[in-house]
Amino acid sequence: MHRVGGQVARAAARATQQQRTMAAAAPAAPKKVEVFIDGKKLLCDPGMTILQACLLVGVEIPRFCYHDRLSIAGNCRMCLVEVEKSIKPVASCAMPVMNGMKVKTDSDFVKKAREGVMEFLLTNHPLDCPICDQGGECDLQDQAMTHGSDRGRLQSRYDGKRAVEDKNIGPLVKTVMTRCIQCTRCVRFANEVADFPDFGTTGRGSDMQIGTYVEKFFASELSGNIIDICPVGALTNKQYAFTARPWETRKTESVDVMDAAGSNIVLTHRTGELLRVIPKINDDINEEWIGDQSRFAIDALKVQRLLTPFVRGADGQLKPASWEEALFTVAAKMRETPAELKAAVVGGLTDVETMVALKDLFNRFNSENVMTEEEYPETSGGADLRSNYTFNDTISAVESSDALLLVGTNPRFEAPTINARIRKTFLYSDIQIGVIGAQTNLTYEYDYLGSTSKAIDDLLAGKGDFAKTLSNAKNPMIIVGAEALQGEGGAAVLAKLQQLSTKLSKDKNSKVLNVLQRWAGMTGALDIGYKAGTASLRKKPIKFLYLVGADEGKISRSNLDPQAFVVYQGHHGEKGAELADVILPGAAYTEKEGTYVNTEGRSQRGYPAVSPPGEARTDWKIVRAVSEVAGKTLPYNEIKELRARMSEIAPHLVRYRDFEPSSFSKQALELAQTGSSSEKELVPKQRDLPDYYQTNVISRNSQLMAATKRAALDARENPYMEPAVTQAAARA
Amino acid sequence: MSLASSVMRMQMPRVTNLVAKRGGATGLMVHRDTKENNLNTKFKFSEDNEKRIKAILANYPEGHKVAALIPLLDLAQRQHGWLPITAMHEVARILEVPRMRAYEVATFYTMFNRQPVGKYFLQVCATTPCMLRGAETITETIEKKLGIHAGESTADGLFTLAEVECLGACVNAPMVQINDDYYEDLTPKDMEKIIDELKAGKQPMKGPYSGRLAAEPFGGLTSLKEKPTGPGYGLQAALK
Amino acid sequence: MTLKGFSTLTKGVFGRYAPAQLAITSNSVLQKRSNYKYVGMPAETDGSLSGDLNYGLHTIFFTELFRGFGVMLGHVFMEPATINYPFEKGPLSSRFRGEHALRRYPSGEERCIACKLCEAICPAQAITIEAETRPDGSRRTTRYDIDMTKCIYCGLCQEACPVDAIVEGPNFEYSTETHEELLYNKEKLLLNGDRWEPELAANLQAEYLYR
Repeated sequence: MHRVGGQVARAAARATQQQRTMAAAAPAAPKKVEVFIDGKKLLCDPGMTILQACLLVGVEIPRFCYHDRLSIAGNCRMCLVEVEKSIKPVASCAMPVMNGMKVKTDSDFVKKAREGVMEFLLTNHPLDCPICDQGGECDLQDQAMTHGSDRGRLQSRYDGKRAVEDKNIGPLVKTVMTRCIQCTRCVRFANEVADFPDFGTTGRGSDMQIGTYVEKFFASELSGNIIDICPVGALTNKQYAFTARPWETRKTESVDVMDAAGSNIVLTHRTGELLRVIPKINDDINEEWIGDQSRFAIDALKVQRLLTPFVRGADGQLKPASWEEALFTVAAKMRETPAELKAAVVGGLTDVETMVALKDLFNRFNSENVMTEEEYPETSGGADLRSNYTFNDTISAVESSDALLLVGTNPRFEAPTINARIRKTFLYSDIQIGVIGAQTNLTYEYDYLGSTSKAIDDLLAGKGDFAKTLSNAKNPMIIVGAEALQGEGGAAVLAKLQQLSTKLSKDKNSKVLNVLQRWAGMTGALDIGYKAGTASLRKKPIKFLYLVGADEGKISRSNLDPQAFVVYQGHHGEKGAELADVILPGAAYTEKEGTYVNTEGRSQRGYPAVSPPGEARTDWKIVRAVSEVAGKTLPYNEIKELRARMSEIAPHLVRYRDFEPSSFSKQALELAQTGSSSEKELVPKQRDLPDYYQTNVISRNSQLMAATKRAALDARENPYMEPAVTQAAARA
Repeated sequence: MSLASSVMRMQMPRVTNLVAKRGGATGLMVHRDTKENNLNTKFKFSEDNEKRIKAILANYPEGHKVAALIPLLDLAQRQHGWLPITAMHEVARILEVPRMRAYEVATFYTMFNRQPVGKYFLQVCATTPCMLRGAETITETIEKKLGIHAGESTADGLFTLAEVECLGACVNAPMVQINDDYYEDLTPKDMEKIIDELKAGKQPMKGPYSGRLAAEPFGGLTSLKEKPTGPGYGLQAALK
Repeated sequence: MTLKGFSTLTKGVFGRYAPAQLAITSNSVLQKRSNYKYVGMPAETDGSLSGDLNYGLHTIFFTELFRGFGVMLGHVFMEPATINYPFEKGPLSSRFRGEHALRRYPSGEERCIACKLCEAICPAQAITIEAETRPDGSRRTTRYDIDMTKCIYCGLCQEACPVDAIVEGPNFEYSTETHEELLYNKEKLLLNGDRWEPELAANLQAEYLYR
């Protein structure tokens, strides 16, 4: 894998880091620089740009090309300010502050400069705001209103306007390249964050275009983010195309469930219809990116939904039924089945509220048989010790880490936003990364250590260069995928990694071992005491099985008693619903208020944007209704009361947005089963881009995700694709 | 509406003409597979050039190989006559950079020909000074003589004609660049002679055709006629 | 005396008090007003004997009646002020804001591009638009509804329209028997546009200098 952009950036970053370390080694802390912004005195760190300094005193400089999370390009010239003793206006996004600098951001000189820049930008920008999807949320529109002139000198009669052909970069992003103002944010995003170096600028002057030169698919799991960073309407959301205007939509802040990172999102909806998903900035989790699944899979929430309850009739066919009939059928079966023959299985997208209610319900029937569909080892103290299953060091700690070991995970597809952070760390620091698992393109360079658990043994034994790197590291981190810990030998892998992390841990606060869960609901389920995995189902012939969103096909009729009664509660008619004798239609994550605990153990609250379709109801309320009909009424009528119950179980569940550090990793090590030394294959299932798009019940039902997967598969056949990608395809 | 459509009617021929004439050498800023230029176009650096590549790469420090893009693309163009997409791929492979970096550089510089050009690539300077001195007649002469228009090649693949912007030889206007050489102070007659010689496989005389050595005035020097003053000229006596 | 009593009966206070005095009877008006013109009923008599006599004679001989006949007779020969609606109609300004219509281009393509500016500006929120990409890739509405019973005919929608698609035409005769018939959909609006296009185009042509 060769990424020269990366190499250069790394070299530069290393140089600056050396300077930084040298500066840090110097006795005095770096002196603050004194600048005056519009006459206001400000002390700021050297190396800051004028634009950033202005932000400190609350002066917002207009800009197009500057973006907080991308490198500085300085090509839009919108951020011009006046600096005293400089005869020309200065591009504030690229100019570092200097001692005694006097900056004016609101003088006539600046206003004239901005007006001039705006006129140039509008010269070649089409006047098609009425048909542009960015209209109403367009940086160019807004800034033309505030900083532009009401007339221009362009004589299109003689000069003509620039027109650029649109590019086809896949089924997700719509391009109208004539609207492009060449800020190159998307190019920088593609090269720096998404590692899709095929995106660039071709030509020059008025012929300059943004694109791939040869038509190809924007092969990245983060491609949707170029829609958000585009300041004009050149890159827009194909799914959302022409459907709504920002002023008529409502926005609901929520939490994404497509991966365990718990990215913060904003759901845009209008008249009870979900229209799009955009990321919400959260520096602790997703910065301001989200993966394509999180953004685009929502079309599935309108298809294949369970709209009414179903009850299997005498002829063996599922028939639509009333809620009353369905609830009474479930309750009757629930009452008559003995406690030890009852079980409940929750899928990975379930919210904590529902899981708490369900567990309470089963406990009232003297059953502890509640489990998650996703497997997880119960060794090393299991779910009792929280450090066994959470991302203990927090996601943002990746940035300060200097050695990172990835075990049996492909964060690029299991948690794209976390991977973006790893890549950022890789580009701007000296982090050394080792991978045990699959040799795929992770968007950064790494030392490949092997595909089996033998590689962990080697590291434990101190064999190999990377073992030295790890032991010398100040802040080592190990990220292990939940998938690697499943099945036989998973417990041993966990035990070995716990040994390794204890060995590497330099101080009490760094836990080193971080588990990257695959499901948004998994950490929450383990927090409230669900058994991980469905293995215990197979020991006894279960007669009453309550499935909540369990759609991964881990359970089949053959695992159960032949006369077993299966209830499925969920939002999509898929594998779980096929098994069911009674189907209770539930709500998807956009339709209910729910708590989700992300892989770090940070609990976050999602809010309903739209109401559940048809007769579907909020999940915890369904469980509550079942309890009432079954005669063991759960003591909560409102979500507040349910949350009070949640805080009884685990107080951190209602401490929203806070990270709850976990302890007892040492005890976990003591309990670990280190005995077994069988070799375990640690290759994750998701290796290439096509594996990314359809991983859960929602994205499997999304037509757009299916189309994108097809496009990604076709892209492998495209001879113009970068060789690295085609090689990976050949390997797979 | 009617106003807008009349504007369109007025400007359309202008703009398309401009594109056809001036865009002849540079072409589109995106790639389209053509008969000559596609992934099957064979390109491999010759052994001599492989050696040259090694020498070029030695000029740049480790980690900065990408800086050799321009010399390598130029080398590829010199070897192949023009720059097919496979050559860009080859250069990107050698330098271990994404292909897009090679595309970017090749499209940025107008001297990289991403479409086939004839053995002799006639670039007539058509910017103001040359135009005032009769560049248009030079273009006409070529067009008449070869039967091609700007942006086209002759059927035998010998000549390609392009109108380009200033080539920096304004003192010797009008002028034509043929491959790497400048032919200056041209008259239509000179131009015909040059083409004839090229057709005959001879190397025409390079430089000004007016009898000038370089860019000196036609009627002898008008200034700087006196003997050049030596060092210390004009200094105050104390400093001498 | 008798006459005077008669006049008192018929005229009430108007005969007794001079108009100037009447106007300042209100206590709330503190300023002395001198420069005003009385525009109420003219005084029929100045209060003198001859004035009263004159008034009495006019009353006895019904002179008002004959003057009234005279006016009526005069109008027989004048052009009538009324028109024979609905067979005749009065002139309408080119800015008249009547029934809405969605216009088309001469090619038959609908003008509306679903920019939703009319929906946004409508103060009565009478317009509802839904849009999506048409198979040919262009931006068009799938739904364009105007609730004509909500509409206040302010004309802001046609002001906001960048392509002159939604206009308020000269038609004002679209009363219906039911409320539902006044909930216009896209078909109805386009039909209106087709029906009234000559008038709509003429109105826009007449107004283009002032827009």
